[in-house]
Amino acid sequence: MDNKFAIMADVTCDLDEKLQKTFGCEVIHGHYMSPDGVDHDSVLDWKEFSREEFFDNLKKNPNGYKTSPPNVEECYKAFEAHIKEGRGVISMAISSALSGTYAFMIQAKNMILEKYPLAQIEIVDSMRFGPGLGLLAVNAALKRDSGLSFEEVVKWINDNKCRFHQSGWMDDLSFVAKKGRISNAKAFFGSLVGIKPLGEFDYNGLTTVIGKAKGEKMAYKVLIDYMAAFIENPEDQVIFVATSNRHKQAEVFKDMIVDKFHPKAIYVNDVYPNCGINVGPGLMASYYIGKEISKDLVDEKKAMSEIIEKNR
Amino acid sequence: MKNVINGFVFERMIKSGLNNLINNEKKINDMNVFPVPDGDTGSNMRLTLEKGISKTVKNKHLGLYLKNLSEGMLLGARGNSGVILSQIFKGFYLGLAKYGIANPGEIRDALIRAYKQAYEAVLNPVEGTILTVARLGIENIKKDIVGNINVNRVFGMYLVEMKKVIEHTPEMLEVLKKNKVLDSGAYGYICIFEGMVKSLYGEDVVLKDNKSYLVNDDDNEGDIIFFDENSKFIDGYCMEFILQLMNSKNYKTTFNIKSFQELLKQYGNSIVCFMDGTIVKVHIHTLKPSPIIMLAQNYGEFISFKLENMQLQHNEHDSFSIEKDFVIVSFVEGDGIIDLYKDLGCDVLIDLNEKDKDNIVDILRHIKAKKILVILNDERKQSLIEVVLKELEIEDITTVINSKSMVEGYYGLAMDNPSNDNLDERIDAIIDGASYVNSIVINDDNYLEEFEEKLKDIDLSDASALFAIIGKDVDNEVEKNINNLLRAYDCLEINIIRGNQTSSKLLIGII
Repeated sequence: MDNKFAIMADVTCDLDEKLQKTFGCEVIHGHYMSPDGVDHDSVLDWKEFSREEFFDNLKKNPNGYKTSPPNVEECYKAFEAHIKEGRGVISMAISSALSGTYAFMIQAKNMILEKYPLAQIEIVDSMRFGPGLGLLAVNAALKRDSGLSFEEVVKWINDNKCRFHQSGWMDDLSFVAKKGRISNAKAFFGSLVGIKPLGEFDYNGLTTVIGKAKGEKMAYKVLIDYMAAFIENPEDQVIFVATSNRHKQAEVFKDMIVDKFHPKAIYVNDVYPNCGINVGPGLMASYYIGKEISKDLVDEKKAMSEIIEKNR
Repeated sequence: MKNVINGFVFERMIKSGLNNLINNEKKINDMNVFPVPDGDTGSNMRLTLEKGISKTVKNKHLGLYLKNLSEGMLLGARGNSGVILSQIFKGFYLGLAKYGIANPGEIRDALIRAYKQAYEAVLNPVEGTILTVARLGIENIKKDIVGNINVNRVFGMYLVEMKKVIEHTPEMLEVLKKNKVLDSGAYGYICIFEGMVKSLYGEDVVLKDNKSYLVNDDDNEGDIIFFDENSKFIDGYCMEFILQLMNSKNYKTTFNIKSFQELLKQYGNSIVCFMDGTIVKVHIHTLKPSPIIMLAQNYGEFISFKLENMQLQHNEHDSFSIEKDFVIVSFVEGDGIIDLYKDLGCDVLIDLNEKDKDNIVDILRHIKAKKILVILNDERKQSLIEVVLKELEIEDITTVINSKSMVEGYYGLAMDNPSNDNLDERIDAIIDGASYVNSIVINDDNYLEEFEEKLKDIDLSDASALFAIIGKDVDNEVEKNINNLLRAYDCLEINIIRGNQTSSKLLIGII
């Protein structure tokens, strides 16, 4: 790697090897435990299980899978590989509202600074998770490659991280509810046949249901209108459409986004086991940069209500 | 009793600790509400300790044994609790690194170094957690670890003290108090030391069932709900404890096992009580635990103590009241449909076949809410519910959805957004959901023909989803038959469940 500093993110960012290479980012792997009690490295590919096999098993035994982030030693080793070569490290962690990863990375950073007092290393609480974190890492790498300095990239991330939106549905909310990754978790355990709960990140990165659509067709229309209300300069953006096991729908949504917004680039991304365990098989959402997300999602909820009413 | 421990003894202890942790893994996972309620503390602690033990090699030298254990745990740490646990053991190792054997004073110092290491390593130490029990567990007793005290006693006192401290964790951490649980990491840590102490006393913990953490045992989920201020307490407690008789309490001159057994009979029944060296084990059912605790403490201190309210299993139907801003009531039947409604947040379920006005009044009387929504699921109930609401004088705060079938009610609830603080908007969304669905009720034994006939009136090409709820005793071919009937509509999201309702063969909802 010839980059002057490394852009890293924990495994929940779901950037697979191809995306890591394309944008020059690096992922620190975590772990997950399968229902037989066995610990697995969270890799970002489908070599051990096929996507369908994994999500089928997850659906049969949602409580049997558990995830854990990279521990302090693992973060330390990942950082040290760059630091001892003289490269700086900017590492982004899943929202500290959702996981202890940020704290582990800070501990690892402190250990690095003890051994390498002059090391250039910053840890950022991304206040996002999943492909939202991945897109933040990609944008940080693009800023680095455009010539921004280490400090400028760190500042850009902190100034812009709450502009990263998630617009999509999770057609079974019980997964995020069980893992505490949704506001008002206890209220979202039921299965919804044909009804699409529409989610957005809140300020801290927790998914919040801000509306519901009756069926996919209405959901697509509402989501496109919602994106139009919040996205900024789409033609300059890389947009992600991420899905756990709804690829057909993700392709439809991607085509609609291309038609409407003409982004610079758009990718349909997989959601891999570490993130998939926490969101379930039914995630289908776009990730993009837009207006800063309001506290308590006041603006977003209001806009969503109006858009749903219009599309009813 | 041991005056020192070496690597061999510690190896037995830590393996017993791991087994005790695994035996309690599911329970610890269920207690997990902090920092993230993701139910994995027990599993993370197990994986961390397992990894540590897997890196050890048999070594009589305590320090060398602990070195491998600690390094394995640091590398294998899983989750927040695992990282803290690994740091505690790192501190413990550093405290004993140079010792082939360790005496009580050295163990005391190592336990102090252990918690200090963890506090230093954690970014924002939070009290009320594993950190607190590890710290106060030793700080509160360190002055007593002097003179001729033995190793068993040091670990035993540490354990007893930690068990006292953990009881106060809900006062230190609001989220524990709110969820009526103790801190899961602290509890897991105590489980490890409980297993270690048992090993010291020759009772190494064995695995009860090495897959126990996989079982979804939700039997106790409703305990808190079913024991409240109105419950009658007649079944008492099941109490079990292991008592360490102590010289400081003059047990040698005052304790007699037979007299002790006789005294216990005054306080309860189902008594098992025997003495093993200076340990007394007791099992008793009692209405009043405190005199027994006082009696036991005359002679020693508890190594382990368990108290369970035996009333909990019996009160499920004894008391019912609900107090919320917004309460949803639905008329339903069929166990599959009941589960569906419960999952969607319906607060009160009344049997769809209930026709007795007084019974409905009796149920609704227990609701205290700002707004109530009643989902009828049977148009014929409209006049009945009007009478009920009038009698209870709750017409002003109650909205009635005159849904024709349970599938309409389902789609009403499915459109509810509990995140919305505006109750009127929530009610509008539920009404909209229930009225939007195209519902078909099929009663004919020849359900497929009737379904096909009724489908002729509906344009499925424009529909998004079809939900079929199968009634009780409908044949096993039903799913295949429905899928065959609808195979031309490949864009339709089809979901078929067993509702087990008796009022229809099939309930179909199309949106």
